[in-house]
Amino acid sequence: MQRKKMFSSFRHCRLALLTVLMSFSIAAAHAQSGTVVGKILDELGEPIIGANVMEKGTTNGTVTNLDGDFSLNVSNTQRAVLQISFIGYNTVEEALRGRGTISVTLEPSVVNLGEVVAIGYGTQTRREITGSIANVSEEDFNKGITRDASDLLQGKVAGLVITSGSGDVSRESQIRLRGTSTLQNDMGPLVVIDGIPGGEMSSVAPNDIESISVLKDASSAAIYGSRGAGGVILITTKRGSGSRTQINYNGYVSADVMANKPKLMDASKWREYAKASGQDYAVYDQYGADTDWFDELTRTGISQNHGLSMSGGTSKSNYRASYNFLDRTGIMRDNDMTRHSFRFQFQQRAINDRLRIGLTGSATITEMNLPRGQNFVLAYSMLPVYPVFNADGSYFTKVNSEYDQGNPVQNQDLNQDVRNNVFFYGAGDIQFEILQGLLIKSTLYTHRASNERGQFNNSATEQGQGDSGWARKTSNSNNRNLMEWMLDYNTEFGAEGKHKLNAMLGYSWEENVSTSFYATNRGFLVNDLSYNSLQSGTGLKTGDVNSSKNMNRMISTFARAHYSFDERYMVTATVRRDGSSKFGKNHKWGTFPSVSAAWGISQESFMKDITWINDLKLRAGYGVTGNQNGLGAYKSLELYGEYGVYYDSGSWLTSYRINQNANPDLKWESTAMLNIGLDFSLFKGRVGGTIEWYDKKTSDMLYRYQVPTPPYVYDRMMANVGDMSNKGIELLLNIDVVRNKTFSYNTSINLSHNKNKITKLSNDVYTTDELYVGDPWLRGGSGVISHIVKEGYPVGTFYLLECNEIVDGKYVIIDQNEDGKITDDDRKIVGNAQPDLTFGWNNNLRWNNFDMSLFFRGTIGNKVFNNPRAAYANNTYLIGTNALDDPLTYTMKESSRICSYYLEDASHIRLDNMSIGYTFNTKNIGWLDKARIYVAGQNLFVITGYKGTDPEVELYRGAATDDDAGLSPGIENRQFFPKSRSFTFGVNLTF
Amino acid sequence: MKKKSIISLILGACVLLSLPSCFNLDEEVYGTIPADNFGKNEGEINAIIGPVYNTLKKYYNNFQYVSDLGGEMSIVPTRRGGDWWDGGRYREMHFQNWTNVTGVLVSGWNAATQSVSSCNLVYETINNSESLTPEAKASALAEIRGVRAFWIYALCEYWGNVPLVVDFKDTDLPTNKPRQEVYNWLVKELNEIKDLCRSDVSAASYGKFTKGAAYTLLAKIYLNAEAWGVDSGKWQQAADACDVVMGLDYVLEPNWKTNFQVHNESSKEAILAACYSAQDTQDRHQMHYRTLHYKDNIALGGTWSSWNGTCALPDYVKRFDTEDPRYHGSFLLGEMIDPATGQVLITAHDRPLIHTVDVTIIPGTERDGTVWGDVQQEDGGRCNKWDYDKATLNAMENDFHIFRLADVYLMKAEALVRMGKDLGEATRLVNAVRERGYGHSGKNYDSVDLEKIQLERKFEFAWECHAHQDDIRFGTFWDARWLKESTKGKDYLAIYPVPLAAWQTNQNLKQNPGYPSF
Repeated sequence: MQRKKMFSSFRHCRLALLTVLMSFSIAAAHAQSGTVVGKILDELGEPIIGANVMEKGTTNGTVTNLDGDFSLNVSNTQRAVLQISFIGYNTVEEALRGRGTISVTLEPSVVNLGEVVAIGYGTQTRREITGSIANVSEEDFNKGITRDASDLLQGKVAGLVITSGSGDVSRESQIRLRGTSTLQNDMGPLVVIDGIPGGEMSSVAPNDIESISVLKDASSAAIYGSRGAGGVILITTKRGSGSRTQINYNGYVSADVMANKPKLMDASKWREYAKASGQDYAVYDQYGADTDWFDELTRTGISQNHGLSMSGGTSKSNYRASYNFLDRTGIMRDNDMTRHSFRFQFQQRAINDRLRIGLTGSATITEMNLPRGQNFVLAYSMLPVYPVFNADGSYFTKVNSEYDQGNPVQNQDLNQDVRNNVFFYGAGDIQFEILQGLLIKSTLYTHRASNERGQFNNSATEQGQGDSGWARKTSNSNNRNLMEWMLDYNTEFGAEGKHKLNAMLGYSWEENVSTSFYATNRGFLVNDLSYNSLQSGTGLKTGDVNSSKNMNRMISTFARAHYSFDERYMVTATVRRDGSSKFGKNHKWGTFPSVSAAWGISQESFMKDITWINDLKLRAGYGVTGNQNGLGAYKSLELYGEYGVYYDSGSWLTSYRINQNANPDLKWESTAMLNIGLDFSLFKGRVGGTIEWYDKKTSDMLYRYQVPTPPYVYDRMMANVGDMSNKGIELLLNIDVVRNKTFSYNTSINLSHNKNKITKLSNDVYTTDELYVGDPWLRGGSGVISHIVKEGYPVGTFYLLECNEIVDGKYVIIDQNEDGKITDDDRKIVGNAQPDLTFGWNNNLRWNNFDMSLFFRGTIGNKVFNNPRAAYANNTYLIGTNALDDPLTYTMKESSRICSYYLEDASHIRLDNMSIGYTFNTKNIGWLDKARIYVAGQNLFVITGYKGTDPEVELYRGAATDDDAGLSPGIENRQFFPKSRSFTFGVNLTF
Repeated sequence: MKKKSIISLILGACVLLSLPSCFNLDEEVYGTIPADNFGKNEGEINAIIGPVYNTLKKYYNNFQYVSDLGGEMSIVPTRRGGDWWDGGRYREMHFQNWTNVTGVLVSGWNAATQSVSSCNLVYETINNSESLTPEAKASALAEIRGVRAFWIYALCEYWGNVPLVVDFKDTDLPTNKPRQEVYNWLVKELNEIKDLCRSDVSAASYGKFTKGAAYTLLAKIYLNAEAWGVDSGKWQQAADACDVVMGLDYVLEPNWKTNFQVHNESSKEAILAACYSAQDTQDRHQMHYRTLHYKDNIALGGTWSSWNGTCALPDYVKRFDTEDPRYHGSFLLGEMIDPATGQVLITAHDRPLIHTVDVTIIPGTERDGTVWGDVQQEDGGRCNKWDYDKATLNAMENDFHIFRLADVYLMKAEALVRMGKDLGEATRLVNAVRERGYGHSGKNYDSVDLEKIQLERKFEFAWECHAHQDDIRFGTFWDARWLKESTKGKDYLAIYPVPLAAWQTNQNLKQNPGYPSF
């Protein structure tokens, strides 16, 4: 009766299956519930106090007491599996098989082989994994000010390069896994939050993150098909536990100071120079000022973060709710960010634990003030003898119309660039155990991301004067709906369950709809209205009002099978079939397969006698993943779009044109990767690590290739043409140097080497030999490029006039073709921005209740073009424009040129993170579970031969979606936002 | 029970997966219009033709450099400190040692070839359209063909041997056609359309490709045929074409400046115009940025900040009679006064802002062993031809008249002199232009020769993209001037090299003679 009613009301396709699922509720079997008691011991036979004992797959659990004993009620003593974990030891899974008493001995290990790791549409223990997956959990996260998962991970995973080249607190890090693998819109890895692909990193507060998995090779990432080529980052958030109710407070305050600034001439140096060069400087130097413009633009930033969470549950349900407030004040006076993050999760089980329903809701509200790079350009040029304010207190504006000059402090004070982001998401999942080991799961997800931006340039300022005031208001939104269905089957057979099989089958449907709107105006009579009264402007131009909307849809089916025998032989195979509306009509669907296998060598009988090897596992995997980020919606279609105006009989009308060279053959770009790895754990688990080698080949690379006009209308066309190769080796080593009850020292190092090469840029239709990209800038350097994209060379190859010395103030530029002239033909490949080696080195020390960590990271062998030195270490604009206090400034006898003289080795090592903490003994305080205080310092020093501000520079300046973003890395731009050095004091309390 | 459950589960999955909506990947389009759904009425057809005319804006924006830096008219000197060095591209243009990567020429080539493609696409669209009456369609197609012929003429003038692709459906990679073939095609094409185009001279015909434009273009092609090395003795045909234009309703504007004022669409002298709007955001008229000093706006009363780029070649300015109103009408010279103080403005190099005719290399700044070096920021006469509107922000409103009647007068005079015919008529035509320029007849000539006609063209057409063609036709293109040495004997320089970037996408292209082959 009940079922019939439900059937008639569920008409929608996505709910049909749910009904089928519900029908199984009748088939519920009777279970044997009971209590299990046990003891947990360490390798010496001593009891372990505080070990976690959890019933696998549930929230039911407890901790061991002072004698290492526990007692737990389980719903089915035949089927229950207990997971026993303790920090520094391998997690153990113990199947009860009807036993009422157990005793388990844990083995110490620097690598937790029993750890459960998210692998994409599922989890596996570290022991079972056949692909290349790195997992970082909370205790290893970076300390101090952290904005999102990338800040937590930076430097921790071999092969995952997270670049924070900017001191702009509103700017996200740039992430590359195992090198650059595409030419177009490299968005870095796909972010998956609690199983939902395509999430926003900023939507999860660091306090809410339990662990982060990085799927590094294609055999792991292929389950994400056409979006997996850049790698996958899986973020798992914290959940409530049925065993205890907790309230946690995590708070810190930080002070940021400018870590490094360009050294410009001060007033006395400038005067000295003016005198020495016999110039009359009275016209400039009439204010008695000695202004350090970089100091004027910056401040000490004070930041604070407060995170509060509560969690708990029963044996049938669990919940966690959290709120996090981050208030980050940048060192630039016009740069700050505040963020409110809310999150709740609720899960409940029913029908003898066979049905599980979960709900997640999250809201992130961010407000930001974005800094203007132009102010730093002005700070380089403005004379130190100019004041910020005139004697009467008004802004000094005398040189505001001078080229590259003007009062940057006035810009900061009077102009605005405010952005508000709101991100909401909700997800619900229903999981039902149809038969023992067979689960069906459905997930529904929806999000709305919207942002508003207001920009205003006051007409009195250098930035606004040309337009007599300029204002823009922008709003964008993105709606995403996702539905997933999964069937998951787990079984064990053979003696002691030595054969294990896991199979999964899934379907996913998702749709993205994005809209944007902006309006601009200029010519404002008053400045008081900012961007809040665009209609009061008088300078509306064609294209100043703009709105657009687009959509794309993606549909996928996917499957995975994993088989293992006795933890000796393991094999995993996956396949995903993706269809995307963005692809051309001739290639709507693509298939992405993978297979990987692992051999647990240490489990073999012939290894039993080798006691110094605790674990040894050889892995090999091959897979194909895709990338479609390079592809905007509609690139395969012939469409008319508005394009400017045309004159007709005295009026201006809107003209329309076909807006692109349509390509109906567009498809995903595919990346095949072979990965071979060796995991080891030696000397009673005191030395652990992984060595990996990979060979990654991207083909059918999406890019805006050059095409001839005619026959084409536009000289660029989105197409699948080129190939790129990345080969590399990675090493992770983790050593317990000292380990005893009062003192321990653990050190871990990760090294990665990646060799990138563009192997093909042409085919029969598209013949691109080389592309010139990169826009270093100095006066007189317009249109001079810095990089070449060329077959046989890596991305980031510098292509410049070669100059190795300056003699008598003049560049000695090498005439490569010996034709007696220095022209563009004399440019040469002179270096590369990609490092030979990237490393991270972490040290954890613990002495009684004190803990300390020191984290260094750096690169070896990369080059950076020191653009500020090229532009400002010269005297040709002195004395009307300031210059760097650099030896070149005093000796140059010709105007600056873009050449290899300014290409510098940017190898460096940075003490990125250092923290010292103290954990209070709370055993005697009943209401307090844990209390810890810490101090942390970030970006404490850099050792480098690089002469510029900082050797770590951004891969690109604008957005990842900009044309050619990421193809000219390794330029320290003039608009370089100085980075900060941060000092943090934090408290962590758990009740 | 168990079996039944599994079966119903599988059935459920099958039902789900067989629903078409669960595998539908069609794109829904919002902000743009699928090609099949557009061009259904006259308004939409006009909106499709609009971009054809908008290509003409690219002509002035690119060819003011391509033409006037290569011939004798303007320069972009490197300013003290290095502004406008830009890798030496402007030195190459002045020295005439351009290469297949010289930036100015690459931009020009791209503008011209893309414009031809745009015209082909629109031609194809209109030709297939069923929304137009046969008359309207014929007239629209003639206009598109006219603009396309103009672009192919530009390619023929500057690069000589160029791809001749006039069918959008032809997707083969083209090779260069010999200049002779391009010329033959142009003559044939223009003769076919010249009388299909509208002949009125009105607000409605302004900015369109008209009969006047077709005949003017034809006259230019005949007049230059000999210099192009593709024909000879076409003077009479040139003169005849000019006669047709002069027979239409165009008038020599009594006030020369009417052609250059902010709202110069009122000029009845304009034959083919690139229409600019100060409100536009694509292909804007930005001469104020290009030529004026960073602080000239203060003297001129505007708020824009300029780039201090191109200025007039000193030799060119010195040819002028300083009493000719066209002298100051073409060049901004002298002290730039700050209206707030009444004092001469001071540059960031602490020098008075005085635009001099001479442009002088600062000793010791010579680059790469050449005589090219840096000059003071304020050196050189700036473009003063199109009136600067104080309200201008980043785009000027003034249109650019690609063809105007004064040009037709002087072309006819030249054709007559070259034929040795009716010198009296030739003199009358030159004097008409000269008298209009001076505002009085006091400087009229008694008789004219080729030298006087060439000079008159220089006085009349500064900054108007005539230098390359005129200097070649009169044989002075190769002369020494300012820093440039004579390049006499290097006849191949009359056409530019095909850009390397073009060859990289289409290896059927051949390099022009005299330049290193690809």
